[in-house]
Amino acid sequence: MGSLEVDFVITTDRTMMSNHHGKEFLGFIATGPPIGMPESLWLWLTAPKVKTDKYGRPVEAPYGLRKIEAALLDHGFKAAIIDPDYIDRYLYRAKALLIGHHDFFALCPPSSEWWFITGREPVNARSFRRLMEKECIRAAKRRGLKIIVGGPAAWQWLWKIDEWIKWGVDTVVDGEAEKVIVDLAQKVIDGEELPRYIYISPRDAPSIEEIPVIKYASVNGLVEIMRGCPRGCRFCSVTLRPLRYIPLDMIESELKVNVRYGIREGVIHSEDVLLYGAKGVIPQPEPLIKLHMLVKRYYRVFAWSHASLSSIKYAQEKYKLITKLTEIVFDEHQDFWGVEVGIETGSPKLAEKVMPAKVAPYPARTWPNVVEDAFAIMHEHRIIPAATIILGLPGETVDDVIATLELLDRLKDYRSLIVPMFFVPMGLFKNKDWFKAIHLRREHLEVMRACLLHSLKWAEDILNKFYMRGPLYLPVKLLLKMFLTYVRIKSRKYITDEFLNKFSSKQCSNSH
Amino acid sequence: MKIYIVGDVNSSMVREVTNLILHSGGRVELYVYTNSCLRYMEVLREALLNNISAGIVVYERKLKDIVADVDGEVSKDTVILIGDNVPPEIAKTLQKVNARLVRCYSNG
Repeated sequence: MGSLEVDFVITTDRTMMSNHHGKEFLGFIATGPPIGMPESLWLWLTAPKVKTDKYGRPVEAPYGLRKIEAALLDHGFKAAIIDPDYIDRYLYRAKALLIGHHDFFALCPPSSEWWFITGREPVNARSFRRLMEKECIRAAKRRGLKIIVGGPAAWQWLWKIDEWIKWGVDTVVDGEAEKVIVDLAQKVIDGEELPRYIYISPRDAPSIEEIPVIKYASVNGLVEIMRGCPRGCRFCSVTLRPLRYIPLDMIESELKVNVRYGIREGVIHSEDVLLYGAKGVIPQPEPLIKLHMLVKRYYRVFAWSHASLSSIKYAQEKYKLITKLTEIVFDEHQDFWGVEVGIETGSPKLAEKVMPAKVAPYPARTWPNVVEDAFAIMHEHRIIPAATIILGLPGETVDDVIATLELLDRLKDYRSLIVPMFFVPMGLFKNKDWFKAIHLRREHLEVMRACLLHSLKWAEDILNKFYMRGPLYLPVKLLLKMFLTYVRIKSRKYITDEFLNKFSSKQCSNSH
Repeated sequence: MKIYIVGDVNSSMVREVTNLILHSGGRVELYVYTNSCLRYMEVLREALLNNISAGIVVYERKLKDIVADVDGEVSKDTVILIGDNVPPEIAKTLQKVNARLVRCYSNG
């Protein structure tokens, strides 16, 4: 086993550097603490080690890291993504260590929900800490190694000053970093002063021409089809970014890269896949049909990362587009796909306040109907949504939560997973035990129970009829079934009416 | 726009920084002169997280270097904010060297 000459080592911890057994959704379970099994087994289930070449370069690596690697390689820097188990081979001479993450400290959903519910620190934060405390990083830091961190969770460092100091992080980069990383790398090479913090504004975000094509395969064949979102929901930061549609030839180049490295199953990534080539928030059939035909030429199986429920309803009712897309995608290799969708609330009043454009082109007051219609369309077309609900949005009243409960009841017959998330005001992160300060109402707990029962029911169905077919998946599938059984038993024991009645007062705080 | 922050950041200074960022026209370079590594971020993050539209770069420098760094700085887009725990001789020298750009937020 050898090593390469690398000035810039790019890496992340195991919960990110994994293909999650080829099932992106399993990666979400790595955001929880180990439940009903030892941490090592939990990690094997959710984030097994990824295949590497003889230099310790992972065959698949997170897409965001691939973009950073590509930007540096395009500008002539000696950079490579290295699996965290192999970084010791490189750090003794590397000039900088670049680390990206979706959730360094488990403060984002769904990690924060797991933390709140169990009172235990999620595995992703533990795994990241183990990475940062590796002796090879500490030794290289003493020698003068620069450490630059970034990714969607970069903001978390502003709440973790102790760790920022302790681990010797030189620079935190918040925002789309493909341009900035080149300047930073040059400063590292030239021995110039590095900034401590960079926030890349929407106007400084890279244009299409400045976004590099990945050079090596991405985790689960993920390929970006657009950046930004025109919907402007008040709780979402993606909406601040300029909207850019990635051209088909660039998407094709990245599909080819993945196929070259043996990846034939993938995910197309966008905040709302159905808005690819859209006119505002109105989906357009032609670009979407072209996109799906292109992806299907390269991938045997693929899924959408995210879609909005209003786009699904509109696309089907106006153009029968969901039917047409399934006709393109479904064949002998594939007869379903998954997607993340946002319900967020069942209250038309709250929808109107915080996310009117999410409902567009329909009026905000029709939101519960839009949700149900979209769920029905997906159920009928074998598209399986993993949906989110946000509890505690600013301005939320008891009536709003009850409206969410009523909507959940309307959704019970549609195949889906529904996950509640908390709106966590950032100020709470000042406190080490921030999760104890979240105040819940009894109605919130009712919503959480309804989501759990709904998801347990459908998870079993999805696992039996759709997910992880074939003998190779048998051990993972068995473990997942054991996990579901464990959660079902625990939930019967703890989440009873008697338990909820304890919270009959207007508010309750977490009582771990 | 360049903002030089001298000494410990306090809440009134953060309000001013927030305001300056808001009216910066898009790009802000913040130079923090301090002897307490990164601790200023605990106060400054309010200004950083309140911003969404301006690009921001924060540099951290040694307090003793401020006078040399701002000597001769004449740009209209530059301000020097003096916070807490700045040795009086540094504050006085800054006033002397570049009085037009200096604003004092010291509680002392």
